[in-house]
Amino acid sequence: MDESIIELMRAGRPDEALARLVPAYRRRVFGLAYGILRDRAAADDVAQEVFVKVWQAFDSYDGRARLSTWIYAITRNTAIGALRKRARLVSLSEPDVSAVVDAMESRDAPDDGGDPQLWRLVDALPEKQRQAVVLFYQDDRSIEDIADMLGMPVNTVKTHLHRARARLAGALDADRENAA
Amino acid sequence: MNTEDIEAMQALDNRLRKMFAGLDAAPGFEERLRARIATLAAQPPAEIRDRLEREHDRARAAAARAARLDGLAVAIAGVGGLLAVWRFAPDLARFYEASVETAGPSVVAFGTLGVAAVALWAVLRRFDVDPRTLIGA
Repeated sequence: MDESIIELMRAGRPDEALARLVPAYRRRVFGLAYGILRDRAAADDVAQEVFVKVWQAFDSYDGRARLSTWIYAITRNTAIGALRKRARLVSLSEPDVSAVVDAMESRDAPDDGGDPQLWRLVDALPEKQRQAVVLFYQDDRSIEDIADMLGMPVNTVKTHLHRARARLAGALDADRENAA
Repeated sequence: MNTEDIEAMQALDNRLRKMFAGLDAAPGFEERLRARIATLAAQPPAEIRDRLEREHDRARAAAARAARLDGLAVAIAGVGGLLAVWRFAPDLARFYEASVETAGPSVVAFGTLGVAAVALWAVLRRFDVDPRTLIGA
């Protein structure tokens, strides 16, 4: 799939390349952006912006990195940029970004999949663990795929995923005990 | 990990899969993207716009430089011509008188006017002035 997209890009047919690229990468780009932003509307905006950037930068893609790696890097940078922009709106400094975003975000009301308890627990995970969980369970992706998306080593992803599952299981147990 | 833990983990996996299965962009994502790109495609990309502006600036600077040099060249030629006339005035007067005697005053007058007209035309063309505009044509 990527090869045919690259061929279209090199043939100077960006619109056709994009028409193939979007269905192939939409969920991945959205999932990656969501894992960083924890906000569906913001992730949707970022995903749009990512594809526009990709379309505008087709000429500058030199093929040194894989197409997917290139797109994921654009996605991460765009999402982090959006996160910082949101934090700047409340005029706070860089180290406070995560805290501010945590505080100001009203949680997405999950309109599918239900399970508000689990959404809350996933949202409470440390950033990298949450991103790994979102990407892993969104489409049953391989660890290698997630490592490519997050730009981190495979073993680091395994560690994040393992710790996230342990933390979620522990939190669910604690919730059950509290309820009992 | 005992059987109970394994079952709890499997249940957690299933809940997470179900929860994230619907995590996707809002409906109409591709239509919105196409509309956005169509709008962008209708206007020159920023890079092209910047490049055109830079080229325009360069061309303007080159034209200004050329105009300064041309002005200087005309001034030098004018001063040189006046100095030459002043320096060789007696020789020119003798040449003029000899020409009038040989060819007649009318031919010399028309010849002089012709040379002056050609010189003026060359200067005007160099400065991109259409000579016809000077006579309102």
